[in-house]
Amino acid sequence: MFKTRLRRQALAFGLILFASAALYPAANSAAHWPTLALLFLIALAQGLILLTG
Amino acid sequence: MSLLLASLPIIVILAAMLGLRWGASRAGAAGYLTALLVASLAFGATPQTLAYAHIRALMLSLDVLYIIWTAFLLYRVADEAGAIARIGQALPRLTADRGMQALLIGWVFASFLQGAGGFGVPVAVTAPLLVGLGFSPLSAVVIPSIGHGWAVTFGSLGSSFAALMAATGLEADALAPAAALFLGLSALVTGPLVAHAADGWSGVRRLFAPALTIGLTMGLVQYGVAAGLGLWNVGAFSGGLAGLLVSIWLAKRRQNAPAARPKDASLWIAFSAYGLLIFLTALILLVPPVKSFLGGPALQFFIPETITRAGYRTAAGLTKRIRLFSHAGAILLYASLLAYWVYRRAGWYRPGAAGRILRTTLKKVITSSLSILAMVGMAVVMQQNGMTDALAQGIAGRVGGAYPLIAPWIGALGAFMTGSNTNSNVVFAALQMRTAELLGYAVPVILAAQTAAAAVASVAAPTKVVVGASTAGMAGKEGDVLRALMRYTLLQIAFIMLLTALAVWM
Repeated sequence: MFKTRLRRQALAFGLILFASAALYPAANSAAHWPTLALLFLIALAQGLILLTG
Repeated sequence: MSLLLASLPIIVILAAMLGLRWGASRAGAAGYLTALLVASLAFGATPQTLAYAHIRALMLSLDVLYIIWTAFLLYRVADEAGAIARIGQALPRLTADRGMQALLIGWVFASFLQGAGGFGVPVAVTAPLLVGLGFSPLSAVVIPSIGHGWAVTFGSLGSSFAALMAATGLEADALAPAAALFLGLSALVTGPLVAHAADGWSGVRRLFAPALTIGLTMGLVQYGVAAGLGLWNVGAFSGGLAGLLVSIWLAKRRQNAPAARPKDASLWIAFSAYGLLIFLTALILLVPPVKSFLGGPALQFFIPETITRAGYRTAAGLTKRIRLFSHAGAILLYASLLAYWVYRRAGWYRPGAAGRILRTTLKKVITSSLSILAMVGMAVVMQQNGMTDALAQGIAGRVGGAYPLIAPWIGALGAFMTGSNTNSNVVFAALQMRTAELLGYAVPVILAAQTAAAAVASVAAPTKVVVGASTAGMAGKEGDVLRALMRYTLLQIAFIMLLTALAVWM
């Protein structure tokens, strides 16, 4: 149980870091969809922590 | 209405932590998602404003996380070698005076541990030591809790102060002098409070002179190192170390004991992790050729001007620059690696030590890392989309001239609710800064009030009290601990309120 929680936390942490970094080139582009997709990914990772602790 | 909506993310975090008893990472996630929703639906956030807010938040978070990860790594390297325990065991042998023992272990050693590590370590290490010396379990938790609060902001090798800089965008030379002054003066009053907690008013009368001497030493050294030399990452650590040296000398003098040298080199080896840290910090930050050589490679991004659909502008600018090889976190990493080598050469590690150090570091810091990412993300989304400004305008309008009296209590509330000086700074510092600007008060003074009050209040946070109580065999009696602790904590916050008023109105 504990190992699973640690893996969930590590996954969420990695997702947030990756998506936040990827936002820089995405924000500089004309299209909005890459930005929205990455923001959705970050929200999903935070949602994972919210729901599972 | 906009005031209520702007404050919703903060209300959600406080309600989650206090009402639902959620941890900081889970409550932070709730606050972040609330900020995202409110900013998008009520404050005109666009994909661009949200994207750039996240990039700024990432850089601010990495700046703090670099320190948190490596500070805990250094602590684990020393702890796994038994160095912390050796230092703790040597101290009680210096004096038979129980009041002096309380000062030495519950105040000075706890402050040193806060400076060197933090993360709940001061109470967890010193409470069992005090129980072993015959203090009641209640006193054993209360004494070090009061004792180490003043060292929290510049402790944990600067992580709470780094969070203050990250949240406000201000540099150390603007923030450190006022913060170090407030905290140094807090150190001065902490000694008599610890003496009172240990031995009542007779303890205060008997130990007033040594308490004053030690408090003055620790406060001055912290100020000199953090504000004078600009080495804020070792401010509380240096203060704690100086306090240890002075209090050991005072303890021996009061016992009329001859100055004894350690019979073997073990105490010096035990201190080597921290000796290396001081040496490397001075070498890398104060020697120009080394500083410029290591300070070259850095991470920084340009953020263009953004405008929300509601017309709120955030000016263009650069993100926080992270100098990869001369950052405080990098220095901690070098010290950790060298200290590991020293302890290994001394034969102080059991087999498998490296794996244990890395595993326990990861387990300990991942949760606080998530809470930092969430709360910094929330705070920057709020800033970039005008929510912080709306909140500041609302508070300034309602409180007006009395704001300097309120500011410390906001910081204290944040720390009490979140359990952390760092989290309080992340959540409230930008708001405090903006409100101070609107009302025309000196921003460094208001931010010093924020972080100093958050520091002393964080020790009384329910999450901290639970950890401390469990180490002294008081699990289930946290209410008793909190009741005993609260009067000292409220006194300390009131003192900081007085300092703020004097600084602003004199």
